Amino acid sequence: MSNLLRLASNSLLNRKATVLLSLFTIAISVLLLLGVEQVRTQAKNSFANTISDTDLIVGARSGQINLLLYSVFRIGNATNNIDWKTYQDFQDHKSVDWTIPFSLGDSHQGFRVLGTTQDYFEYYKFGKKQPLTFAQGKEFNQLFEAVIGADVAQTLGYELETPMVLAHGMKDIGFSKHDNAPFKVVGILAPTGTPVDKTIHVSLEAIEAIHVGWESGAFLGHAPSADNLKAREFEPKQITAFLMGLKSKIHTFHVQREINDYRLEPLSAIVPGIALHELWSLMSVAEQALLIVSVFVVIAGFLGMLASLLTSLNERRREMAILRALGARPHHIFSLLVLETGIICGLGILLGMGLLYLILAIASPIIQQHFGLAINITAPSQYELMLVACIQISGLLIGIIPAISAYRQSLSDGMTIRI
Amino acid sequence: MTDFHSQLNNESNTLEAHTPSAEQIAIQLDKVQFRWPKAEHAILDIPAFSIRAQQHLFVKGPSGSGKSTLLSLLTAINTPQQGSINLLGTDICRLKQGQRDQFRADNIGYIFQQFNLLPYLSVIDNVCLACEFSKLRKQKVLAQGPNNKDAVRLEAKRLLTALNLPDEIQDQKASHLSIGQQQRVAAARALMGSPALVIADEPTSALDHDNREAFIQLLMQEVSRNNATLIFVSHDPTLEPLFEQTIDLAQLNKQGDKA
Repeated sequence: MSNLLRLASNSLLNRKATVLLSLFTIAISVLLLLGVEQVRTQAKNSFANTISDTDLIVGARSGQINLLLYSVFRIGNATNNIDWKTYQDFQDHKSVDWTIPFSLGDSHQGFRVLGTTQDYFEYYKFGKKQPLTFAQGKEFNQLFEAVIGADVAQTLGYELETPMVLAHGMKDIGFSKHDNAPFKVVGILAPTGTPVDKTIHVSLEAIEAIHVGWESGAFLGHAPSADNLKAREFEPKQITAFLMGLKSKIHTFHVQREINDYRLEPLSAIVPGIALHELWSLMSVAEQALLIVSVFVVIAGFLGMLASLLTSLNERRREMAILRALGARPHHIFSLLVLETGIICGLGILLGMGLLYLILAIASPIIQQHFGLAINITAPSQYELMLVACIQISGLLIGIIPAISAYRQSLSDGMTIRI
Repeated sequence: MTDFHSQLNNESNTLEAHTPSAEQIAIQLDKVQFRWPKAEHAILDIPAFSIRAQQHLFVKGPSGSGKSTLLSLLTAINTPQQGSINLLGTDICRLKQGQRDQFRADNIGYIFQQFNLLPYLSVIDNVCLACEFSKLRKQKVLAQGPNNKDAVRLEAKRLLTALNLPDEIQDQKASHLSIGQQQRVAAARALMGSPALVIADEPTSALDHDNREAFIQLLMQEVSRNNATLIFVSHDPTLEPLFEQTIDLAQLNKQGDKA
């Protein structure tokens, strides 16, 4: 076996140019397949890491995906609001540890504004139960103070003390601006890789304050001045949704049922993990399409290798006849060719994996910086190793095709050298 | 792996043909008929033919007289439909496919018309290749020289030097050599591990006249040193005087007349 291995590697070295091309084809297809797999798992991870440690999300009665989208991903709008009294009811519930109220509906330069309380900075967790941290500044304390996400700060070039005017709804047009009451930035959050980065946080009271005169949905009345507003006391009347942490996870489904059966108002409570899973499975079509494309790239790589091996076979009949004359049996010839494809495939896989980790190593700091997405460089997962093993085995199986023709040739040619 | 080797060893032992003395018959063909699978008539029909051990035999015959077919029978690549072929005391027609390959590896040194060498191996590796598929030939080399792992290379070097190939080309790639040099390397490989039978299929047809004679002299000298039997096939009658015995395949082969 070892002499065959030496023969195979020497023979491959002799055909460097075509062998290298086949090797690169395999390497690139492996790179793509594993790359897609990495992107898929990392995306899934970062998706699942969007929200953490929250046991229930509560909003007006709606589907769980809709509720998840507007409360966590800031996509779409709420079907209805929740009465402040209802919120207080559950805040005081005996199983409830903490709650974070969300009031959505305003925007600034395309970024959503979230009205909430200081509890947000204490209890909101993402990733693996990581709390929010401040890159600069601190929480809001005054009425017209705002804390902005990392993306907001970077895209708009905002720093601490920058003044900003919020707009009603998502349209930033002249007559729907809350320009009577400008805010100033008091805190900038560190990147999280979640929608928090794209959010502007203000207090619930501030949301109430800027909507004075907007009660009908459009601005009709007289806008009070900022100083006037600051002098007043605001109590929120409505919120959009709230997050809930329970004292014990065992009570999750019990509390969920209680909320869903709430008599005074139609509510929906969802478990974030289950909703995230349902949302992700909606996207699995795209995920599988990616995987199928990369599998086809691998197949194309194999066909390329097969073509070059079969072409070279005719030129190598002489080589086979020499080996036969020296006493090599047809099965030696067969193994020689299978070994050759095995070597090309194996080296291609190693090169492909090497390239993947090189690219990850170079790109991960850049991605972290620009997208706040942490890419973990880890040893290949069991699934990836299985993919790689499948490629290697298919490579060997494909090697059987030229091996069979060489086997037949060596039987029929025998000692005659055809040129 | 060890199983594989011991199996090889056993096979080699049962197939081993002891270097025959001068009186013994090296090759004996009896009522041999051979027909290619799709052909209508037999291409070879040899009623009887034999050659004593250690003879140098010149086989002549025009193209199409069945030289290549005869060689494929003598090297046990093909087997005749009728008759028997006895090589060095073994009836090769009765051997199984694998045994025939092993027999060839152990007992026959073969030199092609040209392109004898694997272009991607060095000259010396090409020569050593003869021992890769035959335990027997490797053992013979080890029995002669120092019993260490360099013995095979040392024997290859000795043969190359004996065949007038300078040291400096021995580590070069085989493809860098002239045709004359390549044929001498092929001869060295055919002689590695002293096989009892050396078969050369028009090995000089690509050489010029002077080189031709020099090559044959060197080959015979080394074949004699090994007490081997030489079968030299050629269509060139000018080489005939160099050999002790000649057969004309056209006369030997009854089928040749009809064709």
